[in-house]
Amino acid sequence: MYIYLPIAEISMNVFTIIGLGGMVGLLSGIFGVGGGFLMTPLLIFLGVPAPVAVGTEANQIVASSVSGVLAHFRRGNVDIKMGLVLLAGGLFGSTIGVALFALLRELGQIDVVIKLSFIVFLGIIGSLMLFESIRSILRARLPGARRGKLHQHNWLHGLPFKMRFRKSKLYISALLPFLVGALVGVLSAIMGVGGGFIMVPAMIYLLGMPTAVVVGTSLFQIIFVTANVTFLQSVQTQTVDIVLAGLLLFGAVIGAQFGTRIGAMLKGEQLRGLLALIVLMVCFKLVLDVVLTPDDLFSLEILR
Amino acid sequence: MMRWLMTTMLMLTIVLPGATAQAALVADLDQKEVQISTDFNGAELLLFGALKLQDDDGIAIVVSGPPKSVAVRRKDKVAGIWINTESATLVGIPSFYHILSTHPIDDIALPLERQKTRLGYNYIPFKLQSGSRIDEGDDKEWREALHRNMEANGLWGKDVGDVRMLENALFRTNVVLPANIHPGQYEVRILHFRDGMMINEEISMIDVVKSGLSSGIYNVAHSYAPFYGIFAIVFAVGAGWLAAVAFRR
Repeated sequence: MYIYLPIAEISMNVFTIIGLGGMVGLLSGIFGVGGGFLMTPLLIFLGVPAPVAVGTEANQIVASSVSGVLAHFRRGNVDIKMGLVLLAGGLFGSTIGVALFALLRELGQIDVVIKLSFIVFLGIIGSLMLFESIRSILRARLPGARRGKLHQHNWLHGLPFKMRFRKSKLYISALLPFLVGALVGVLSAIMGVGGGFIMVPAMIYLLGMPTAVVVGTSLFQIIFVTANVTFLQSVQTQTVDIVLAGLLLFGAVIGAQFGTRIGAMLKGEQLRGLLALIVLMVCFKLVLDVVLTPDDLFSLEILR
Repeated sequence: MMRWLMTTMLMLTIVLPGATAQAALVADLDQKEVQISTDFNGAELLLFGALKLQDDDGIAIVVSGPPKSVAVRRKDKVAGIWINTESATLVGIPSFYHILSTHPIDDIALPLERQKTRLGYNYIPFKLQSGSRIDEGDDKEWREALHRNMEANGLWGKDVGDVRMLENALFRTNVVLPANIHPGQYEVRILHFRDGMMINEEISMIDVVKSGLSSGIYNVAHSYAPFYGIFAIVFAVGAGWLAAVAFRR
């Protein structure tokens, strides 16, 4: 059964789209990640124009973050004050990001920039996760290994505009979360991701937030940042396809339900190792895309 | 008196075409409108007609779609990565151009006739948008790139042998419109060649329109973009909330 996607302006099999949503939903359920960083490249592999993949994914992440954050709210795992500072940065960054996106699109460079951004971030995150999981698997076998220091002080703690974040038990410069939010906001706009895969490590290692509130707080601000991206992409580039987003979401919701159940049965380190391999595979495919000599050096874009 | 006049008129209409040595050509499509609706995955139209054919005659049918501007870009390897380095924008390029014929075009139409009837990729004007330029001498390469890429995405094509003739009096063919066609007016030109010369021409039109939900969504997204953006957010928040409620853990 084919469906004509009104914004992507291509015809696609409905079950392919729902299946893709379901598969990424399953992974995000198993690993507890957002999945945007896999969904956008996979949509591009399936032939969805890269800008539409990015704009649409932002819209879908609004939905998945809303459904994810509710559980965290119930458990009180959201540091709203920290979330708002991150959000201020996120709105700033994503607005710049969408403007940059529109400019790059006009210059005909958006596709390669999207791919390169994914290569860099998937490559870094994938290798870090792989090393981390290998190390913890090895450490579990070596008794007596010691843990490192939990919280380190460095020059970042000397920045001005100090603010107290009760829930995170932190007294740090507000500039720090603002900048983290802004950086992730730019990436969110250009890559069509929530940015949780960068935000979460940054919150733990850079800001020193307790892990319990990290995921809820990151989801909280992702809702508003991706909503901002959805709005601005709709206005500036018309790349948000709600039919595609709706179908992906439908699949993702179902996939995530199975995923969480499977995830509960598997071991953490092995899980992370597996996710790392998936991430690195997608990264590798993207590397081939930009490095191998294309079949045709010329490409066309039919304009209005 | 009245009867006599009518008989004369009838005779005239029959005799006159023969007098100008022109064989009548009539053609029709089974469908004049194609709707790009939500379940659209391409369309196939039946084109049929009648004409007086001789043994060596040929028919060529040109289906051309609404003209568009097309950006052509060329990649080069920069620091190990293939990126677009040069680009040119062409104007008035038919977004669809298929030639269906009974024989290879070169066998049925003389070069001068091909030019006169704009039959073939080479007779499609290759016009750069003001401000766009291509290095001197590279014209051919860019032109070929346009032809190659339009063929690769199925929007242009040459389908020799796809027009079938019956009893030297009837012909039929299928006009296939792929899923990625652009909405607008499509012109179907039926050309009848004899001894390399075009002796008869008939033009039909097909309207390709977006319809249904997909058309509504497209229009809102382009004409009322802020409203569309807000709607997309409200839709996503609602769907996310619904999903959380439905699968409350």
